[in-house]
Amino acid sequence: MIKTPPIFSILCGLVFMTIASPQFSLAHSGHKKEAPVVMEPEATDPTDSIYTIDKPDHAESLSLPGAKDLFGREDMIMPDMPGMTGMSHEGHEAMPKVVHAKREWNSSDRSGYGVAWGMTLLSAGLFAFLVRKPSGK
Amino acid sequence: MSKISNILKERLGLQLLEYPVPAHSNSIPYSLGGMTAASFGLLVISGILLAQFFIPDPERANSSVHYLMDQIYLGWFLRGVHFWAGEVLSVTIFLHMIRVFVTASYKKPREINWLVGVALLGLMVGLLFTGTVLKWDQEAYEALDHFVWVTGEMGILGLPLTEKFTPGVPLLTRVYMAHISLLPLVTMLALGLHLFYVKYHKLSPIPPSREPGEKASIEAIPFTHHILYLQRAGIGIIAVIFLLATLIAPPLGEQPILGLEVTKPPWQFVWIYALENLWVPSLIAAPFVIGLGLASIPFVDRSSETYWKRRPIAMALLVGFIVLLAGLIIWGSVTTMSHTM
Repeated sequence: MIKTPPIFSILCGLVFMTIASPQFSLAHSGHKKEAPVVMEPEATDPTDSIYTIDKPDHAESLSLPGAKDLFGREDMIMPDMPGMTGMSHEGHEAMPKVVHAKREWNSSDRSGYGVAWGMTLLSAGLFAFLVRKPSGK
Repeated sequence: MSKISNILKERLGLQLLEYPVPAHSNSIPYSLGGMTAASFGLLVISGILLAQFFIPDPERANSSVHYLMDQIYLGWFLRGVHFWAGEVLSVTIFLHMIRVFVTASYKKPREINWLVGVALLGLMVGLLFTGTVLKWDQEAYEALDHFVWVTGEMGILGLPLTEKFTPGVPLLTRVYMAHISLLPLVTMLALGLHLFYVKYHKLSPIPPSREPGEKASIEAIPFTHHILYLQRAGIGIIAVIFLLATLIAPPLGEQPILGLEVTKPPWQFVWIYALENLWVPSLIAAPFVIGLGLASIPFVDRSSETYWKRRPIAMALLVGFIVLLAGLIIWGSVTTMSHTM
């Protein structure tokens, strides 16, 4: 009978716990550096999309988590999100603020701004012409 | 010119379009369906062009839209046209349904076409929702977040709409597939059926204001004249959409932060957002109740009366519904949600 070294058992236990509950690796005061080691799958699932093959260590962020994940984890943040580099989960004050997207006036610096106006005026002119032309002629 | 016209008519069978339709078809209330179809046509064309630049992957979808807006020549205008066509369609389809309800055009023998219209409304809502998700910013993520919750609550019925159904394929990719192929295809089939029944049952008459039984004389015009009117209305709609796209850029945020719930949905969905604040399961119940209510209208209202002044209950229900919807939209727009999912 092979005697399992204690250190190996501990490592296996740690790996299992981390895989079974990923929030452990992302918990407050957790060490972010450990995450890629335990998240990296040994083989790509045949049903994975082409995108997951390219970046297996980000597999979780590539697809929307299930309902349990979405509503169970408050601190789920994409690890490679712009502006999040080096950020830990040690405090909610460190959470980035979401800039609310709003409708904005288009600037005249937009590429093809004049062409857009031209197309608008052309369609308006065509409409004016058709309105002046009696229906059915 | 008329010789060429005659040759084309003969070769292409265009004379078949000369059949008579009521003269009132050439009016704005009876052209709202045509205006909706014009917006839909513009959505299809602009959507095909947008698809050339979009990457349906959660990591790159948002940046691909930003790239389109900032780097592609007229990309901002293209996206604006697609967005504003959806906004205009939302308005015209709603007004079209109100016109059909007020003129009781859903009544015998047009019940089936009303059902097809309700299905088209549902499909348009689906297209609007999936389109909202594709830009993959915070608002988009939260929309999908709510959808995931709803499908989860639906149990086995919602399973095909969850990620568990196709492990490894991002839900966003499937939403994209639905937005550019499944939903437009079904919509076009339903639209064809809708137009077929308009032709088959003929355009509904203007409800007579006189006593029931007395028939008003109906002036007729060739259908080709109506096509020209619709063409005019369609160009007008396109001009408005172009103007809005030139002036105002649609909202676009940055890559979403998963797990947060801080945005509000587009105005077309704000009413359900307000209801959700009152009672979370209304996310499931409200669309179901409204869909069932709309579908049941021709089967509940069996009277032959079509003039609106002699249908006080129907009119009261319509006004009540519009007031309630407008109230919920306003409330949802100004209030802050008191819960998170």
